[in-house]
Amino acid sequence: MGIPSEDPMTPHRLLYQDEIARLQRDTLEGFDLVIAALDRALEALAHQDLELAELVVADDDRIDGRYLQIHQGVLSLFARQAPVATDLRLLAALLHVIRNMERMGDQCVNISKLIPVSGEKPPTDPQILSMLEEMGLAVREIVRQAMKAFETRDETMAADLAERDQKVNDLNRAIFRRALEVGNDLELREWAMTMTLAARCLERVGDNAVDVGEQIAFVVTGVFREFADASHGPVSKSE
Amino acid sequence: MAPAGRPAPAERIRPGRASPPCAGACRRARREPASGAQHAAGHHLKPVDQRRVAFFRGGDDGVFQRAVAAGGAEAARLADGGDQRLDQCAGLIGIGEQHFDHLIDRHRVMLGVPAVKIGHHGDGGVAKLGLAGQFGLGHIGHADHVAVPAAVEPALGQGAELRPLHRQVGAAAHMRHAQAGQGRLQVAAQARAHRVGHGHMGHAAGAEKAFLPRKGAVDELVGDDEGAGRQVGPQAAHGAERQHIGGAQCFECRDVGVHYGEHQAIRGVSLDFGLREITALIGPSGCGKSTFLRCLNRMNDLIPNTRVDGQVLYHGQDLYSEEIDPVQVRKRIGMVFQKPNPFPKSVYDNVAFGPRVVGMEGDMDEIVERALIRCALWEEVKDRLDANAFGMSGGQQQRLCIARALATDPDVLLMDEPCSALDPISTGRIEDLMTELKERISIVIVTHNMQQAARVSDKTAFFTVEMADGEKHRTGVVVEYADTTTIFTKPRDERTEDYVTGKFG
Repeated sequence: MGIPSEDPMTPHRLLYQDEIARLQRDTLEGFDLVIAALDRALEALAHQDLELAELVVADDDRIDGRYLQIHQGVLSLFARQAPVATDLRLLAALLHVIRNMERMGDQCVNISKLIPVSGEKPPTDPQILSMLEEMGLAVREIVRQAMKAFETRDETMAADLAERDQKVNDLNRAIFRRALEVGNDLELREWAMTMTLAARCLERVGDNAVDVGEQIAFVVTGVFREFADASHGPVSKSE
Repeated sequence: MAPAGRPAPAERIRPGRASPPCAGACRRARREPASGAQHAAGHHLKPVDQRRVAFFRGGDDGVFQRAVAAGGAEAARLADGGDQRLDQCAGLIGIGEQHFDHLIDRHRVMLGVPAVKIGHHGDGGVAKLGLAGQFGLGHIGHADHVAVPAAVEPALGQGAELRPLHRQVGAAAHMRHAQAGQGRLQVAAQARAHRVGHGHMGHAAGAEKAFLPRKGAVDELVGDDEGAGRQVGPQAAHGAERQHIGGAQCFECRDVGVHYGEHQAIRGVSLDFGLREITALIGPSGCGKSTFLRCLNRMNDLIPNTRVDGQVLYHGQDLYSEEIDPVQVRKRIGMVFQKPNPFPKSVYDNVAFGPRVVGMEGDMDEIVERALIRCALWEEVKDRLDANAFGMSGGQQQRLCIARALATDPDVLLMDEPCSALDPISTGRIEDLMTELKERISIVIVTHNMQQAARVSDKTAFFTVEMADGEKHRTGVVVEYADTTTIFTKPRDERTEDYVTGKFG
C-alpha cells in the first residue's frame, strides 16, 4: 500500500489568491468612500454647506491614497505572480476601475468646490434643486449597482448600467435647459450656471460607473466593448 | 598557511569498548583549543555517539559489524541492508558528487565502496552538500572535518579540539596523501592536525545574551553521560530564549567573503535578513548564491580548502566565533536541498531521525505528527506512517524533507533551490508551505527561478558574477538588495533590471 498522492485539486498559491481578493475588497471599499463623498457633496450642495464641502475636498486624499495603494498592489502582482487568464483580466480591469473610482472622487471634489463660487445665500431655483437631488440619487444608485456587479461579476447587471445612466444624462440636459430659462435675475442665473456645472460632474460620475461596467464585462467575457458610444447613444443588448 | 604540528597517529576507535572517564579533561581542552591537547584513546563515548560511530563507519564491514553489535538498535536499524546503508551514508555525510568521488576513489574514507551519489549538479566546481545541514546533528555537524563524523572525533584523541574547518586550509590536501592503509580515522586526524589560522573572522562583542549556547555550555549539557544530549533538545536550547529574540534581524552579514583555495567565490557580501521573513537570493549560475547560503549555517566548513571571512551575526552572535558550536548552529539553522533526499525508511522514521539522534525529549509520535502537520503532509500520510518514503511523489518527498528539517525545531530554514526538481503543483504547495512557516521561522531561499523568488519572498538579493583578469577569476558579489516588489518593479541597478527582465543571465 503506497502513500496516496497529493490531490492536485487542492487549492494552492493561497497567498496570491488572498492578495487578489484583498485588492478587490480594497477597491470596493474605495467605492464606499466615493459614495460617502457623493452623499456629502450632494448635501453640501443642497444646503450651501461650506464646511461639509471642505470636508469632501480634504477627504478625497483617502480615495487618492486608495488608488495609489491598489495600483501598487496590482503592479506588484503583475511583477511577482505572473497572473494569467481571469486573474490577468481582473487585475488589468482593476487598473481601469480604480482610475474610474479616483475620477468619481474628483468629481465630488469639483462639486464641493462649486459651492463657495455660488455665494453664501444665493437665490435658488426649486426645480433645478429638485432635479439635482433626483440626479444625485440616480448617480448614487448607479455607483452602487456598479459595485454590486463588480462584486458578483454580473455581466447583465453591468450592461444595465448604461441604460440607467441614460436617465442621468437626460436629467443633465434638463438642468441645462432649465438654467437657460431660469429668468433675468443675474445672481439666480449665475447660481443656475454653477448648478449646470455640478450636474455635469454628476453626469460624469455616471459615465465612470458605466466604464466600470464595461470592465466587468471584460473580466467575464474576455472581450472589451463599449456599452455606450457618446456619439450614438446606448447600444442595445441585441447588438 | 604553515601546518601545525602533526600529532601522533590516533588510535583506531573500537566502538563499544569500555572507556575510562575523561570528560573533564576534554572540556578543559575544548576551552583551550590552541593547546592542541593530545588526548589519545580513552574517551568515553556517549551511547548516542556510539551509534553514530557505528553508522558512519559503514565502509569497513568488519568494523561496521562490530559497531553494530556494540552500538545497539539504532545502528542495526540503519544498517539493514548494505545498499540502504550506503545510501544513507551518502545522504548523511552530505558531501557532493565531486567530493564524494574523491573520497570514494582515492581514500575510500567513508564508505569504502562506490555508493549512491548525491545528484547535485556542480556549482562553480564546488561540491554541493547533502543532508548535513538539515539537522545540524552532532554526527554531521562535526563532519566539519569532511569525512570525520563527530562521534569519531573524541575517540581520535583529538576530540578536545573542535575547531571548525574554516581554519583548516589544506586539510583535503593532506587527506589526499594519506595512505588508505592508515585508516580513515588517522587520515582525518592528520587532516585536522593541519590547521592554520585564517583571515579576520570577527568576534561578536558582548554576546552575553547568547542565542546559541556557547561551546562550553553545550559541553556541560551533553557531557553528562546519563543524559547523553538530552538537554540539548529544543526545550532546553531555546525554549526560553525564543521568547526574547530581540530586534528585527535574524542574520547580519558583514563583508562576507569565501575562498575555495585560491579562488574567491564571493566577496564583500553584506546583507541583513529579517526575522520571520523570506529572503530570496537570485542571480545567474556561479554567482555564489549557494556558497553564501552555506555560510549561514557553516556548511562551508564541510568543504576542504574553504575560508570564510567577514562576519556573520546570528541574532547578534558571531556564528564563526570560537565559542560557537557548529553542531548547535546547524540544529538551529536547518537546510533543505534541491533534490528531495529522504532516507529509504518509513515516513515516520524519516521525520523522527533528527530528533532521535539529537536525543530530543518528548513524545516522538507527537514530534513527528507536529512536523508533518506543519508541512501539510499529515493528512496525506497519517495512515501510512510506516510506508517507505520512496513511495511518495517528488513533491511529497520534498515536504517530508522539510518536515524532517523542522522536526528538530530550527529557527531558520535555508533552502537551496528546493523546488527545481518539482512540478508546478508541488512547487506551489511548497511555496504555500513556506508562507505558512514564516509565521514562526525565518527562511532564506536560493533559487534559479526568478518567478519563484518574486512569488514567495519578502526581500530579494540579486547576486552577479564579476570577472577579473579576463574570465579567469569569477567572483560573486551582491548588486542589489531590496523589497522583492522593488526588485521586480523598479530595480535601482541596471544589472538587476537586465537580469529580472531576462536580458541576461
